[in-house]
Amino acid sequence: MRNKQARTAYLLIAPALILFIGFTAYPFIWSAQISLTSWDGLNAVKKFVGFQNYAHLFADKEFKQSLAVTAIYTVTVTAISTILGFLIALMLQRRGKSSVIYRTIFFSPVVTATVAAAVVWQLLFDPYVGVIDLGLKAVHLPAPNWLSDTHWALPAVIIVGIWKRLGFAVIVYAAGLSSLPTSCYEAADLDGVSGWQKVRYLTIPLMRPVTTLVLITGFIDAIQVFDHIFILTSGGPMGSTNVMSLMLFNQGFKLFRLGYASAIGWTLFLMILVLTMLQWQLRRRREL
Amino acid sequence: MKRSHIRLASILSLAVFATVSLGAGSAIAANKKAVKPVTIQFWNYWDGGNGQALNVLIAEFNKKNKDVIVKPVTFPWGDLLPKLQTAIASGTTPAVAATDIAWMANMNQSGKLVDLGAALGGIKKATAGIYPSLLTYGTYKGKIQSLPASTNNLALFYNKDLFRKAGLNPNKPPKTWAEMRTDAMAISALGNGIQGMEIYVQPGEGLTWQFQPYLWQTGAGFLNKTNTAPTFNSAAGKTALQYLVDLINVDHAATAGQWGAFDKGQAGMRIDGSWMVGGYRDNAPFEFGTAMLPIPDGGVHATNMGGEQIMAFKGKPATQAAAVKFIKWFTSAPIQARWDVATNFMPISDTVANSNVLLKHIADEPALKAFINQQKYAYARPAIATYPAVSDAFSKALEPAFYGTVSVTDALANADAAVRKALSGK
Amino acid sequence: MRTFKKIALRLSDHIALIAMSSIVILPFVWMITTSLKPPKLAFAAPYLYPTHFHWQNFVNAWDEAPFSRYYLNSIVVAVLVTLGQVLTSALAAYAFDRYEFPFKKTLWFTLLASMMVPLPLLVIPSFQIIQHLHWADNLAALIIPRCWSAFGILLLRQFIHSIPRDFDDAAKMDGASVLRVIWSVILPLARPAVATLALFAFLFAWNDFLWPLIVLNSPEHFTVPLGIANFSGKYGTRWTLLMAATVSATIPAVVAFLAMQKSLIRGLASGGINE
Repeated sequence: MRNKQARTAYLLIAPALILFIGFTAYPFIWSAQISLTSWDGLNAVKKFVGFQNYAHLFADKEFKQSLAVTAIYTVTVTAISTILGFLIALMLQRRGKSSVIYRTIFFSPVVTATVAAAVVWQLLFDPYVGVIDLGLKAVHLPAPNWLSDTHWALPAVIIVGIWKRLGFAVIVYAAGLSSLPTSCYEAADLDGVSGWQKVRYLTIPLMRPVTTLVLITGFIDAIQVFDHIFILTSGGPMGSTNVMSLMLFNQGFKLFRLGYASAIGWTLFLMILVLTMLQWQLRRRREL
Repeated sequence: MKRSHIRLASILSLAVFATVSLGAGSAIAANKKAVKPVTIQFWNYWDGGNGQALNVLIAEFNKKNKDVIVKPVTFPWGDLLPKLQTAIASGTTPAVAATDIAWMANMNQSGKLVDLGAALGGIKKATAGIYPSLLTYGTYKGKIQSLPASTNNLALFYNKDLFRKAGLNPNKPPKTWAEMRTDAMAISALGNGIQGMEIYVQPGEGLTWQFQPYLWQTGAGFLNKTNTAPTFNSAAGKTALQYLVDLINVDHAATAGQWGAFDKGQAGMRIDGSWMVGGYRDNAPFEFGTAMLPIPDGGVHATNMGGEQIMAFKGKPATQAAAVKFIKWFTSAPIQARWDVATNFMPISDTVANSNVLLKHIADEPALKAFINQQKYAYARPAIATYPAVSDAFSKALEPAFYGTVSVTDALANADAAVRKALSGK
Repeated sequence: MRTFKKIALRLSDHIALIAMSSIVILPFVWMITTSLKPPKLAFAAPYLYPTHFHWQNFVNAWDEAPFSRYYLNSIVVAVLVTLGQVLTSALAAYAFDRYEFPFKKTLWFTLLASMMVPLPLLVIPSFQIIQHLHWADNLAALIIPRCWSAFGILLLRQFIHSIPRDFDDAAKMDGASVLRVIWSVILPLARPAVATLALFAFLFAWNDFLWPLIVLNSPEHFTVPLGIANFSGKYGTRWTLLMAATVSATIPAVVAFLAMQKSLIRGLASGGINE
């Protein structure tokens, strides 16, 4: 019986497993091998260099800066888009017909090709003809040279990241909210509980699974971010927006250092893995 | 229970079979097409007007040559290299490609390029008439592995409207660094964030390629003759970098930031290539002029050489022959002359330069004159495999100097160390 | 007094929503306005409402790039990837939740860990595999490798876990096979999770840029993002054309969402609990 069970289980898993092995696990292990060479991706010869790439990596200032930039980007974009998405969905819940229009507006960036959106944002951020700075100047606020300023470039690409991501959170939260049991709220109304308290003690706890979902998908998206930063700043100025995927891409495909790029990818993978496991451990301990 | 297993297994295997046959089917289809005539792909990054000009020429070639169909495929400039890299690594190279000369050292090493000298009946015949300086990029271990498809260089563009507004003579562009500086200051004095001179400060080959002419003009140079050590960390090198840094941080006639102010009519001057002439004529919201690059006191004329090399990749004999046929046609003088007329690229040989079509075009387009006159002062970037890494290291070390966070002396010293490291391949 | 407070609250909501949605919609307004300007006026005011209607930009953009073709490719890829991910994830998630088998824990952990693999790292080795399968320059290379999702398996397993086993057992008593149980019992009950996964998968495939760029060579196979990318280049960007292309690439997708959003929201919302 057990045997049979296992066989059925494996047959069910097989399609996903075959694809996983063929198109993720195998190339991933292969990339580990590349990370131990000084291969440039063009030359027929792949020279074995041991862990030299990894040793270089830990002395590389660019790598450290890139880690910090990636962390800031991932945390802010995920957190802000989740919170804003929740608030907007909450506000939309109380409206009738007009919510359709709002939802469409918030969702439009999600279906816009990132490459196209980035190109538009590049001009919106322009210090001369950009609508953002013209607007800021009109109300006598300081108008930064967004993409050229080491302090403002990261906020700028974060804004675009949130813009692109927000609609997903809104839609998922809106759906979550629409399925909440109305009975709890009616009971709370009878008890004279205020609007904010209802959100604090009813909605937020009930929405926890949705929040987890939005956070996980947001994290996966944000930590891999590449497209719009590639177009907006290519990682500059002075590395202030040089996220990991971008550094990996530049090292591998622009500087012909595929071995080094693979070492970056592996290090990033191991770091996220360790962080996630630590977080699991912490959560488990708290739950006990 | 058992039956469900069998059904499950059969569905899964069906799915796998469908998947495999889908792939195989298309492979067979591709093979069938290749029988007659030979269809070859030509990868390049000539977009927009250049791409349209290319399409016209290729359509003619396809019409004339019944045995070959050339399919041009255009990728964005920044994406062509990764594409070629993956293609070379996995053996899916196109028949023909045209790439930036700055990548040539790396392409040459790939071992996948066709020996064009041999294929075209000897090096002499293959390269007849082409300027020798252009051949350095295609030469590898005594073989010719690619031919120049176009060449160009950098000159000074200036906004005549802004010159007028600033009280400068719009027909008298600066000739020296000192004049360029006073003109830039006069224009930036117009206010409203208008820059006198737009300087490229984003790290990468863009910064290096724009800054190298200043190094050559002062005599500092970039690398030594054998391309084994940097030479820019010298008094002359400091003069060059200091000049631009002062324009930004002392004279406030330029801003360290993103590239593109000149296009929008927000900068008085900029260094750029001849290909921009057509674009500005059609699209710029201002009147523009061009001039040879200004030179420093006691300096020499110098500009940077740009362009593309065209190459064939090793493959089936029929494909390779078709590729060589196309390259021979594309680099021939009559086609090159029409290509230059359409794109405002510079001629690759005297035959092209002196052709009637091109002479007439230059007479019609006075903005091209500066580029033509300058072509003989064009320096080639080092044709070494470590060049991309060298350029990247160099530009990253210089970037903070433009932002004023690192002194000129320190930036050049850092660049020196970083370039030495990159040259050593580490 | 209470109604007054309610009205004030509604009004402040309204203002907040209008403010936020105007920021979100700003790029689209700008995009449309610029796409209608003659090239020489690309950077001239006004920026947010059209004063010119230079439709030639659209004619030229479509001349250079067959967007209907790109749309077709993008839709084929995104729909098949979505179907593939939902199916393979549902099967695997069911197995992970309902069965015990050797190496279950190891496999589960490996699958989850694979979510953290940076995608650019896999480009070159993956492409070599694609090449061995003769899928280079074939839409199959965009579809088949993406027809599974660790996230999808995680999401569906969590949801399936909340479906009582009694449902499966009842169906099995009636003689249903495992596939039948998954198809007609589990999938309908897991509708919200399936819809979430479908949305995520579709958007991922729709927006994907780097992998299609590496894999595809022939313009007739290009997807929408690739088609757009070809408009900005080394030798000068033609902004009005680029914006016409961007508008062409965006508006149909937005309209499609507008048409589908009701059923999408219904799908995402877990039915049953509040009815």
